Amino acid sequence: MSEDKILLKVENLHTYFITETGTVPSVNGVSFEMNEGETVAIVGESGSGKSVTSLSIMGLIESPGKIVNGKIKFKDKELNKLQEKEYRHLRGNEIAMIFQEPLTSLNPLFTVGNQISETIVLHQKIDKKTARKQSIEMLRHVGIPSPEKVYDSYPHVLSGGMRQRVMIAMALSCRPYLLIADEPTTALDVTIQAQILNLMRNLSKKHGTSILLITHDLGVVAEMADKVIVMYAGQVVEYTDVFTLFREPKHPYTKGLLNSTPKFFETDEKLESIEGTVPTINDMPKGCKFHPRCPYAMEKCVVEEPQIMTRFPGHQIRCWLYEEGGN
Amino acid sequence: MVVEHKNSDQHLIDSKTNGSSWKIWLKRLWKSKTGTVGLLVIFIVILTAILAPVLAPFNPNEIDPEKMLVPPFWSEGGSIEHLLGTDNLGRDILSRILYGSRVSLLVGISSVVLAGILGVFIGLISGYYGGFLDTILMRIVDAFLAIPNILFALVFLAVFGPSVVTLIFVLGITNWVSYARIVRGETLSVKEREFVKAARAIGVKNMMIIMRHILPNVISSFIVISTLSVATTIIMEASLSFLGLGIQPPTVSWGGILSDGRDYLATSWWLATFPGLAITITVLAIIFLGDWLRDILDPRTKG
Amino acid sequence: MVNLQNQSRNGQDVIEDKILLEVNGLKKYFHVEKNQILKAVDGIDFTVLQGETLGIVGESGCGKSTTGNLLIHLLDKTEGTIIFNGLDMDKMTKEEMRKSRADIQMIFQDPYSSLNPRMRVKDIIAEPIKTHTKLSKKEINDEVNRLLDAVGLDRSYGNRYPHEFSGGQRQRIGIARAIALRPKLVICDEPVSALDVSIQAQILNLLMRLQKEFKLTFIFIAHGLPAVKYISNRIAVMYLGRIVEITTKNELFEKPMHPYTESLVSAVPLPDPTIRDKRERIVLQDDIPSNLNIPTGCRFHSRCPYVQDICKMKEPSLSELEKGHQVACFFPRNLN
Repeated sequence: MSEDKILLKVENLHTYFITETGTVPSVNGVSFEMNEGETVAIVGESGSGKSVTSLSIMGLIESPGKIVNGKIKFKDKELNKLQEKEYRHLRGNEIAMIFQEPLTSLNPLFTVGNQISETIVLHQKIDKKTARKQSIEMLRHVGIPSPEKVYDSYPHVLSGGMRQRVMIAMALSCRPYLLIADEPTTALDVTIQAQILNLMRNLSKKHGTSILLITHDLGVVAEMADKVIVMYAGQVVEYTDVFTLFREPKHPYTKGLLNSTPKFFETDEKLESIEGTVPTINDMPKGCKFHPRCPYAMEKCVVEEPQIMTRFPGHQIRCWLYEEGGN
Repeated sequence: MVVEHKNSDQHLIDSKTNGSSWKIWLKRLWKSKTGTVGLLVIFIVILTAILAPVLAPFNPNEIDPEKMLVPPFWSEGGSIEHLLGTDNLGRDILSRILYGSRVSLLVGISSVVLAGILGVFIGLISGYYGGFLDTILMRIVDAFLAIPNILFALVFLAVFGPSVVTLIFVLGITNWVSYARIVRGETLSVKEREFVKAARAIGVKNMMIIMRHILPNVISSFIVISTLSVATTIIMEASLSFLGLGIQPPTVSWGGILSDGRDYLATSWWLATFPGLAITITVLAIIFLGDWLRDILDPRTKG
Repeated sequence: MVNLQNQSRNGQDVIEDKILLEVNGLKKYFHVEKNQILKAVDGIDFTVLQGETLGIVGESGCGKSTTGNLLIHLLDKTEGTIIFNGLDMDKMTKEEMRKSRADIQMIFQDPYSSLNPRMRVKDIIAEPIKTHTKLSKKEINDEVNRLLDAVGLDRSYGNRYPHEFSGGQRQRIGIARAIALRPKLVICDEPVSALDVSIQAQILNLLMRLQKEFKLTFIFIAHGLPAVKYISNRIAVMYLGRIVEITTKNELFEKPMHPYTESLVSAVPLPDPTIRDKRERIVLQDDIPSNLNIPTGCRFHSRCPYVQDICKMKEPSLSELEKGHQVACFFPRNLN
């Protein structure tokens, strides 16, 4: 597995929800790329479009949602041109996804084992017995004690952490190239979150699986990611490697987010908060989407929307402050 | 699953909508076409019920042996005098339908109000307090549900004698259980919401919590069912009258007219068709109105 | 205990050397099916000083929310005493009880379900006032306006319904309702965990400002350590219905003594990628045991990395090992 080989390239993605009452641009021009073996985090708050971005990649946007523009390239395939049948073959096999609430993503009427081996049988064309063996191996692999027992249990008897492990086992059962994890630890307790993050980190290292991590928690980002995409109101506002982002965040929104996250080991701190509220689809501001909450807003920000530009090598920002290389 | 729902209802509406609340209601009524139609039809039905003596061309019980089974005016042999024809005794069908609407609406609405008050009250108490009281009340409800409605009504009417009052009573009694069950179920779920917890934490008295926090949040499902139920009650009254245990002559009801017409279905279709049509139109209008009411009672759908 | 509070940050200089709340041996058991007993809170003791913020942290099933519900009488306790403002709650007269209800208020976790969708904002905020006072309509209205100002909401918002507001704004409404009666003690039950990151800081800062302005005492219940650390003066760590450690926040984060606290602190993902490979993490194995089946001896022994034989047999009691630092462990860490 060579480094720097591009696995996924998203170009100018626009996903809109077209309803009777109007069009909602949930994702409005998102571009990024991720290499093989890399972990990329998308950070954002509710309504930022981070989940819709991941669902667009999975091809799981349902009506009234629609990818209206843009390209998603995965390995050598253009995903948004695939037929549903080809997509289905890809999903679970080459791209897998885990969700925030593992209980709702597991079918309560089937045993855990049933659901894992179903995925394996579906994509690998092997018999049930081998699938069972492989599933149990996978369950053991994600750190489930007595996997044979869990294999025959129903989802509701498992704890939240166990369920998320099962989901990860299921997602990884076909050794996908890309794992999309949408808030995988948000519903879990702190010590269990640490277990799951550890597990994901180790599995990714071992198998070279790339992870696209969707989260709102900057702590999780700092622990896991190689590159970070900060999204606000359907757009990428900052995109760089994790160290640069935390060392010298440039976009006022990123700065605000970092300042409003408690630092934990500093004793006397005063949290700065971003004033105002996250804009909603019905009151999307003109110009820069962040300007009503931005402490540095200029006249230009109110009228004209900045484009995302590479202001520094490997560091893209959507902000007028850094126009012409200023800082 | 795709749209982040929590956001979609966050839109901050302008505080422009400060006109009189009447105007807002009318505006919102106009927006819902079915609601407008429903309200309009019901308004007309109620008006004709009230104005029946003025509007009806004949006394509904006036027998005219010379004009038996006259067809409606557009059919061969019909006359302008009897727009919708006459029945086997020569009574004017239009007049009978106009007068019949009085009893049918009265029975339909009052029995639902009776059932509603009883059912909502018991449902709220049972769901909110739970425990032993709940068990007892729900067993009573189960017992009621186990008796076939029509059988219970027949026995009751046979014992107490058919009249408008007993009919309202019996229809009310057979219907309250469904309200009680639905309201209890809703109460159980609303009770667990945090705002009820918040009210209890403040120290609000139980009765206040029920009236202010629970009732308004269960009322919309009640309204939907009760409008449907006015409809089924009108039909039930018709069935009972059809079986001869409903409204007794000389009082006219839609069910009664329908039942009188059953022997002539093959030869004189208009006897049963017009009262049937009246029932259908009224019931549909009530259902439309119910849907609309449910929508406007929810503050979330405003604007 | 006073000199524990040597921080200079706003609001913390108002802590008085007066105990507002004293909880002793508090227990809450639930009887579930088949004669099983769920021990949600299993004997806890703590005190809260006038004007301070006591944080209570722990994971699901630790009993932190049940504790909050017991203090506010949403649940009846199984055993133990609660002494509020010098009065034993069991021995209160009806009038004292009514008064104490007004003096303890709560802020809830979910800003979406904690406000009645059918009530206007001003009626929501006015409800506690109407319940406990006999003010006139105009006086109530003025008071509601003052409260809206205090929590940073426009007065005109009073006429709207909750669904018109964002999560952060709704939480402000909930806060206005909680402080409407000028309570002595406010129990904040995960007030920011349902909010966006950028909004969390707003609400935390608002709470701290109000604490100073209205002389409030807080019990801040949360599972997210960073927020608890930011707002609290002292923190109690709960595990399976018991307090395992209680001390000042700096002490707790700098030298946690209970192995559970230690692992909890080390498990928090920190927003600093440069330390992620250097940081020592204690990742606990296994799941949190069920409250129906609490391990014998020390209830943490099944997951403890330093477990000894005695831990499986005897349960350690919460004792003060250093000044103002209570721990329930036979082999505490970081002891001087």
